[in-house]
Amino acid sequence: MSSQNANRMCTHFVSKSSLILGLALLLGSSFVWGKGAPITHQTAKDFKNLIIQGERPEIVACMAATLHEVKNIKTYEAFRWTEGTSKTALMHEREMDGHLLRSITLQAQAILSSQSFFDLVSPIQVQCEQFDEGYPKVRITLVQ
Amino acid sequence: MFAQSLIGLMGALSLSAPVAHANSDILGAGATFAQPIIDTWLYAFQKAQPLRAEYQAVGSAEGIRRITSRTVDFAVTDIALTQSELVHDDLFQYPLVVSGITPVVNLPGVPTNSLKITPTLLAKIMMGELTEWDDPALKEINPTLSLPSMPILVVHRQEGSGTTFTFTHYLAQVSEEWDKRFGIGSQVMWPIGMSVKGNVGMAMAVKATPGSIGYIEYMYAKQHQLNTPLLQNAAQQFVSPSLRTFEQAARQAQWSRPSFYQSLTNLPGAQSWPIVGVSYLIVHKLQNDLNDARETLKLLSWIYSNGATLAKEQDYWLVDDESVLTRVKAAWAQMRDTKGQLVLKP
Repeated sequence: MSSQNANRMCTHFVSKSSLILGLALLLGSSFVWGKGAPITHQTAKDFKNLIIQGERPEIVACMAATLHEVKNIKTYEAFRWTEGTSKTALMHEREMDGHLLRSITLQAQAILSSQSFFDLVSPIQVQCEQFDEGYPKVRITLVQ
Repeated sequence: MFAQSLIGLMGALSLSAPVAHANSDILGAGATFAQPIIDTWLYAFQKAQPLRAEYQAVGSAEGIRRITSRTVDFAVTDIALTQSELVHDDLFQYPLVVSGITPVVNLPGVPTNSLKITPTLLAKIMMGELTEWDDPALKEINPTLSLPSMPILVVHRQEGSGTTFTFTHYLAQVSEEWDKRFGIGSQVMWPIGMSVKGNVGMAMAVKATPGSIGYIEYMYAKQHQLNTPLLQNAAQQFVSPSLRTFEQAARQAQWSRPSFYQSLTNLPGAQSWPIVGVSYLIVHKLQNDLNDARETLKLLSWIYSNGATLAKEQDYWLVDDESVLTRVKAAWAQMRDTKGQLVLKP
């Protein structure tokens, strides 16, 4: 596995215990930064990091939007890109009546939130739709 | 872990560190597609101005990476970023030059500009569905040529490449099957062929391999005296690559989107070359160093005043439409440094 992919795994694949620890730290820091805390544009940071890591530029907006989406939904305990995500990404583009529609399909993996003792990794498919260069709409589905 | 920390540190430094210039006052990086004309411009600029400027042709994807990490003053890319992406990193992008991308072949006994290829056959070759040069489908549209009986060897680019992005954009437009299976990308899952690095690597590989076919920026095909076929365009005409046929396609561009993003592939027009690429220039709106930013804008402005003729001499077309110029100059006028000072003196 390349160091780039190892980095991805480290960055995005958090276990339950580290999530709890992170939550505790976050709660702690919210007391510290309770007043006048700086606003963090997480999506922009994800975008910059993914570009610097050397991902395909045309799929990075979709990847950044996906990470943002995953953070806001409870369905997934953890999420990670696979070694082949960038290579297997499938992008299409259509222009209709002057409007531009770009769609990108990415493969990833996730651990579903469950009561189970064991964490089971499931393959998931990410579908991004970008209309007229706007912020991508993300749809995440579990691959059966 | 160490590598991750290093990346994080690099990211943090890039927010505040000024651009690292090796030996130049102005440093750019990116697409190899536009390298010949950018090198010509920089040479002429340095003769006219007491400034040193350098362009590192490292590929579009790497150019984007370097401008994002603020290690260069400007980047040039054939993979346009969309408005949503530009906003993420406070970037401004505009079209700089246009030129053609052409298939190139190495076919013993077949003169340049004589082999005819249709979009459907080109896509089939690239997908590995048409594997012999004397296939009946190729013979049918080339009745006067003596096509050799040899296997077709596809050559494609290895690294993230803007030329690949434009070429696959074209293939996706002309072949439903290509679009469905491989789509558009700076890198795709090529079903067959051998991979090489850079436009120069492509030129050398095709030149050295009888029976091969690749795709390349036109200037490189000319420089290396490669065999360019006639390609059927959207108006069903077989056209040869030249500045005139590139211009026919480029003149149809509207450049109306906020990011200026525009595809110039498979456009209508009897004399339009069907695979035309655009090189976009990218700069940060918020500049770390006022002096660096002023020198960069001096170069970019010099290109508009002096670069069109030099571009034509090398089969590039400088995008200097009035509508583009107005918007570019308005954006330059808004550029500031981190202290809020305008880069251009009012």
